[in-house]
Order: sequence, then C-alpha cells, then structure tokens
Amino acid sequence: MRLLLVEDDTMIGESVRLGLRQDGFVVDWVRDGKAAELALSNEDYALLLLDLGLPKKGGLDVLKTLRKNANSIPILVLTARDAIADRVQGLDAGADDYLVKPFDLDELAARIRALLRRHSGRSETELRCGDLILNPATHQVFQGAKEISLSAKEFSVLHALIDRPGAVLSRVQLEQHLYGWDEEVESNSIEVHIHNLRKKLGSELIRNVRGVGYVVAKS
Amino acid sequence: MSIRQRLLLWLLSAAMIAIAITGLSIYQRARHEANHLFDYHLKQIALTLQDHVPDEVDITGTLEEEIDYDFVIQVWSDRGEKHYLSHPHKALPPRTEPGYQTVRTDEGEWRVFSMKQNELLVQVSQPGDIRTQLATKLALSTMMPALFLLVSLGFLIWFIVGRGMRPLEQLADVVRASDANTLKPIPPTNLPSELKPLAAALNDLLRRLDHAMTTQRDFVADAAHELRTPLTALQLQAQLAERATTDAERSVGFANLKEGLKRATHLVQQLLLLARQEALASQAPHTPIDLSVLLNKVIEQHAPLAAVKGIEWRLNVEAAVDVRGDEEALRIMIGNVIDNAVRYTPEKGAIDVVLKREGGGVVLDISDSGPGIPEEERQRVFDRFYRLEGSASRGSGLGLAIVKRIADTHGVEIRLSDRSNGIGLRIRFTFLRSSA
Repeated sequence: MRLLLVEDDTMIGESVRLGLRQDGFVVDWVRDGKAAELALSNEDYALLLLDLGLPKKGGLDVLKTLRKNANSIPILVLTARDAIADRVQGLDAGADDYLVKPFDLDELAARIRALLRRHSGRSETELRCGDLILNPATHQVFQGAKEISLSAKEFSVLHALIDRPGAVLSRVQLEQHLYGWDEEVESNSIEVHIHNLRKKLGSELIRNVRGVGYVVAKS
Repeated sequence: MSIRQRLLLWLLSAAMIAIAITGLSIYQRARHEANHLFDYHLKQIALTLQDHVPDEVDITGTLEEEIDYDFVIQVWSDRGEKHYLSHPHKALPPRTEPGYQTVRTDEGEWRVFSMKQNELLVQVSQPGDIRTQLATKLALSTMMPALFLLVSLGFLIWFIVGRGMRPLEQLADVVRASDANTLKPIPPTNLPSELKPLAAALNDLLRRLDHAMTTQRDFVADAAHELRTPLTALQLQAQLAERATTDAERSVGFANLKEGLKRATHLVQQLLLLARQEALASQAPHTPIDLSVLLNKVIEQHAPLAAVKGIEWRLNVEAAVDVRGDEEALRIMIGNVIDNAVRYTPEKGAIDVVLKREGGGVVLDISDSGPGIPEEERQRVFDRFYRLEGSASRGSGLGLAIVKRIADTHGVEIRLSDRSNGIGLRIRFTFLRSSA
C-alpha cells in the first residue's frame, strides 16, 4: 500500500516513514501543503497522512481543497491540536480519522489498516479469495490451513491484487504500490514476484492479461 | 477597629467636648445670674425691714420661704450692741460697713448686705456655698437634656455611619463574588463618587492581572503544544529503536533518539529561560557592564562550531564600552543572536560584528551571510514559537522572543535589516541608556 505523508518536522517524518515501511507500507513524504497537492495530482495513493500545522498551505486547507474536488482518498490527520473543537473541525472538513501527537506507531498502522478496510467497503480484517486468506496486520497468508511464507514485496503484490479482485493492475501500478520515490525500481521485479507467488500459491490464482497486467479473479 | 467604631468614637468625643464647653459656660452664666438674683434678694429683705425693724418679735415665720435660702438677719444698735438675730449659725459674719460685702468666716464665705436705718444697722447675709449649690443645680438641670442628646446622638451616629458604609460593603460583595478566572471589571454604576476611584483602581489592577494571566495561559498552552512535536519524535524514535533487530539498526535508532532528546531538552531550556526572563525582568539589579568583554566571551563560546563550518569572524569592536544591565540576561541576548548567526551562515560564510559608541548610546551590529528574513516577517520573528516558513533547521522558536524580552527590559532597541550587500541578516541593538 502506498501512502503519502505530509509532515513538516524532519524527525517525526523520518520516524513515521521508517516505522510504516517496517509495517509493509510504501511511504512518500512531503513537508508542506503545496508539495502534498502536487504529489497527490501525480501519483495514486491509498491513503493520506496529514499534519495540520504545515507551511505554505495549512493541512485544513489541503483537506478542504481535496474534498471540494471530490477526491475520496482516506485521510488520517496527525496533529498536536487536541481540543475537541479542533477535532470536530478536522473531521467536518473531511478527515476520516484523527490521531493526536504524540502517537504510537502500532496504533498509527492499525488505524491506517482500519481506514483502508473501511474505504474498500469491507468490515472483516482479513482478505479472502477462494481458500486464500491474507492478514494485512500480521502479514500472514494462509492457503486453507497451511501458512504460506512470502517476502515483503511478494506480500505487497498479492495484497494489491486481492484488495481489488477482478481489477487488472498494470506493472506500473503494481510498481507504484511497491516503491516509494526514493527507492530504486528493479527492472522485471514485478515479473519475478508474480513468478514466485505462482510457484507458492499455484498458477491459477493470478492471471496474466496480456499487454495490460495482472488480475485475481473474483471468487 | 472598624471605620464605624472609629467614627462613633471620634464623633461622640467631639460632641462630648462641645457639650462640656457649653455646660461650663451655662454653669458660669447660671452662677452669675444666681449671684445677681441673690444679691437682689438680700437687698429686698433689708428694705422690707426698713419700716419694721423687729424687736423681740420672731420674724422667722414671715420669712419662711427664705429659710431654704438660709438668709440670716442681724440688727445692731448704734452703739454696736446686737439688737436682733434671726437664727443662730456656728459662725456668723461680723458687723460690716453698709453695702455689699463678701466676708470670710470659719463656716466659709458669706455674702452680706448692710444698711443703716435710723440708729440701727440692718445686715442680711447668706452662706456662699448655698449660692454655689443652687447655681450648680440650675446648671445641671439645664445640662440633663444635653446628656440625653449625647446618648441618642451615639445611636444615630452608629446607624447613619452604618448606612453610609453600605456601598462599601456592596463593593466588597461584588469583589468577593467575582470569579478569579474571569476577572471581570466592577460595574461603576451606582457607586458613590468616593468609591469610584477605588473601583477604577481595582478595575485597572484587574485588567492588568487579566492581561498577565491571559499571557501566561497562552504561554502555557503554546508551550504544551510545542512540546508535543519533540515528544512525538521521541516516542516514535524510541519505538523504532525498540523494533530494531540488528545492531546496526539499533545504533541508528539510538542515535536518532539522542538527537530527539537533545532537541526536546533545548526547547525546555529555552522555555525555562523565557519564563525566568519574564519573572525576573524587573528584579535583577542593573550594573555597569563592559559590552566589549561580554561580546568577546560570547563569541569565544560559539567559536568551535563556527570553526567547524569554516565561518570567518570579522570583528570591529571598540574597547571598554560600558552599558548598564543584568550581565546574565545580556549574555543570553547576545548569545542567542550569535548562535542564530552561526547556525544560518552557510559553510565558509562570514559573520560581521561591530560594536561602537554612537551619539549618547552604544550600537551593536551582528550580521550573518545566511538566508536573511523577508521584510514582511521581520516583526513576527519576535513572537513566541514563530518560525520562518520552510526554514531548514527547526529551532525552538523562542530564541528571538527571549532576545526581544531582554532588550525590552534593558531599554535596548532592535532593528532587523538586510546586510549592506543585500545578502544575509543584520541585527542592530541600540543601547539608549548608556552609562558612559
């Protein structure tokens, strides 16, 4: 899952990015409201982590502009303003959730997963496809009763495909899920990951749509 | 003692003195009148005896009403033989010359009137103390209503003063009822003119207190808010260090954690410094300080970091430049500015420091070759927690607020400007109160 983090404090930004990466998220990080808008218009993000006290364009303004333009990206606000009036204002301006600083990395990851789940219209924490069960919180994959061991990247590819069963994802889209701006994209890596996944889970699960991309059939 | 008791005491004492003085003059007047009256009586009695000098006849009966007044009638013959005595006394006045006389006997003073009638000398006398008693009785009877007046005056004063004090009590009630958190001013309506200055002074105090409290509350709120950022970083860094699985990750984690701690510590220190400056501003004694010596000490302190960045110092400092102030505060003020200059000056840059006497004052210029401060932000940089947008190194946001605070209490003017070549920032301190 690729997230956009907007945070002007260097230490917090670095720590959040590092922590979330350890939880299997891909995080792009910008430091002000204008850069956030630019990033959002160029890339496709699963979720926005937004600080409110931002230079150039405040977090609330970014929020309002996004919602005015009918952008429905899930937004989790991270802020030091904890007065109830501030929270109400943030939520009313279009935030989906609100986390007050200082916060816990595990709680942040859990809230992100909850928001993503809600956004995709599911209520259960695990993703299912046939006899395949994927748990985003624990990074475990089960086929029937058997646990399948996957690398972090393989897990991310499978997660992206299973998240939207029936939708064809191109190689570039999958790469976007896997790599942040500062990460070098290895050529052919998607093909390698798909190859490994088919070897571990059987070749029927992920179908190749020639010239377009890959798809997991709706069960 | 309450005002009411005090007023009662003073007013009653004054009334008492006034009544006493009046009483004394009434007494004297009464005595004077009584003397006149009694003298007249003496003469009248002597005259009634004129045509009827008693022989052996007992005339006491006819003069019965005069018994109270203790008139003594004596008649002597020409030859000096006692012819008549109305009634005996222990000591009687002797025979006197005609007319009024005051005679002293063993029984005290007597008032005497004598007149010649044919061959006889008729003398009518009265003891002096009877006269005094009667005069006193007269005076006291006049005084009785005055004593009654004194008592009723006491009650009246107590009551009237109590009534007069009521606005004061009402004001006290208003003040007592006012909430310590809101510090609303006292409504000046319905207050007597004597209390209006008090209410105005109280309101002024309340206003200043309210301002101080609001400032303090804002400061605490701001400080709490600002502390969240370094604390958030610390929490995240601690968690990452905890999660580390390899030694390399762990050492990076702890290094970051230490950086975070350093930042939080710096913020807390600056907060304390500012709070202390605000509290002690008016208390620290101002002593003569040689600014050139202080300046050199501060520069020495910052020299190591400047050396690392290859920064060149260009000093033009006059010697023995005395100003008055709190040395520690001035050291912090100059230190913060030098610290900023070192921090924002890029590598191989230069910092210019000029200290000189100018007019009656002293001017200190500190210029760096950093990014400078845009004109429109120059006033706001002195606000607490204000940071320049997009400034790379994130400070506490308090450094210049502390500088401003110290400058204000020392009567030092601060002006920010571009350096003469348009690059970097120049801060000019003008010490108006020079001791030189």
